[in-house]
Amino acid sequence: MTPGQLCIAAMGALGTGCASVDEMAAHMGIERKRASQAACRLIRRGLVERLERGSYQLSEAGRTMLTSDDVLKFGQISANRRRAPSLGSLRQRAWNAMRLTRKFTLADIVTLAANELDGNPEHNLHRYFRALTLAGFLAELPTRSPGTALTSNGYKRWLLVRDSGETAPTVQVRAGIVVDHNTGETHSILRPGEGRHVAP
Amino acid sequence: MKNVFVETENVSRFHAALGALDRRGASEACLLVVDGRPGLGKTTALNRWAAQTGAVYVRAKAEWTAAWFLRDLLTELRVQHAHAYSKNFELALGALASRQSAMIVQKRTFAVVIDEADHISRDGRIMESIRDFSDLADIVFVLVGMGRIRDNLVRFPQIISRVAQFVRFDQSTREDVRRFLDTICEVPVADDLCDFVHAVTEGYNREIKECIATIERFGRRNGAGPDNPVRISDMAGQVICNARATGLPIIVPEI
Repeated sequence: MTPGQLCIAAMGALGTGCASVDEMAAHMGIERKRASQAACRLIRRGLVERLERGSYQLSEAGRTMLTSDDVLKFGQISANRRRAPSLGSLRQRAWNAMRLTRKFTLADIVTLAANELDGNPEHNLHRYFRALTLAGFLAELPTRSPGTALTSNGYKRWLLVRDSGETAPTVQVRAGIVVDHNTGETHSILRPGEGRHVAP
Repeated sequence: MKNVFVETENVSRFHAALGALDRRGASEACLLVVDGRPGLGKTTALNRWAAQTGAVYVRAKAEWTAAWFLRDLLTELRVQHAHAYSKNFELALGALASRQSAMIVQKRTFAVVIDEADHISRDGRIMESIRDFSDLADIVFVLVGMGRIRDNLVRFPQIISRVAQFVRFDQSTREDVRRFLDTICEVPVADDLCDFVHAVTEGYNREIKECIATIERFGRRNGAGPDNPVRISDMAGQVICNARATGLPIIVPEI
């Protein structure tokens, strides 16, 4: 059974009442884990609501969907509804650090945000900074911070100019946008006139 | 210089104090005081901890009043403030409690970090507001200052009794200096130069980093490598950093 079919079966298992994950799994004849995954997927779509831990029922939208002739489609959810980054992600930690310091270099943020599990934080955050700058969250400052190497040109300094809230904006490369999860707004990172996005 | 945070003994003590705070007996003892002289890495350590955990971070101002403190706290919490102090207190308490609940679900420690807390440690009204937040919702407050907080809080026995942990940031030890050199310096450094750096910087992080930048430049120019670490004799006659007390350049001696 595909994940989409599982979700439709889970909605049928819930019907008009409420059910636990175990009851759903028993009704559908599948593993408990897969029933739980189907419930989570339906919650993200707003079709199921969690009454308490482990107990679910159809939401108003779910009941309407079940009784109507609408086709339930699964797959990639739309760009604007992408989930915010998890609290532990490098970019979320970097965003926290940017909000704390306001004016910073890439090195400052890497020092504050990166940990030993991050693969190549400089590269990742360099692309993130570029996207945030194009989207208008960051502005480059005119003076550079001096570098330590002999021939260093110094480090670019940035200023956080749009602090929209605690959740880090996410970059959608293919759509060419940055999604601000605090306000729900999207900001284009397309180069003016080129119709071509950078690769953050 | 590598962009890596160095876990010094001061940082380890801070993390140990946070662990002890989580296991505290009295739930109302929610205050943690971090103090030490400037340049010992307090702000960097607290900034890093706040960035990693999503803690609320506010910087005290010299002229802070209780109302201004609440307005700054609400701004940081992204809550529109009201006019009345009582209303602002209610809004802040609600926002802090809901943030704390969200963190507890994720098994994370939630705290409010107040940097430059020396400015407020003599202000009874602000300290009483902090005490109220702690008592009403068990919100952890980390007060960071430059050594006067502990003395100032003695005036408020009802508040100092709520300080669960004191953490003093001391000058870096010789092992800390070695850790700095091993972690962030991009050229290998011999033990004799490490001892010299420890002696001339008196264990202040800012000066240690200044020395590392100089050593790194020198080492790269002179082909330092794993078999050829930079020694004190190699750098004889070079200015390694400026003395904190006098501002005069410190020159590596001929040995």
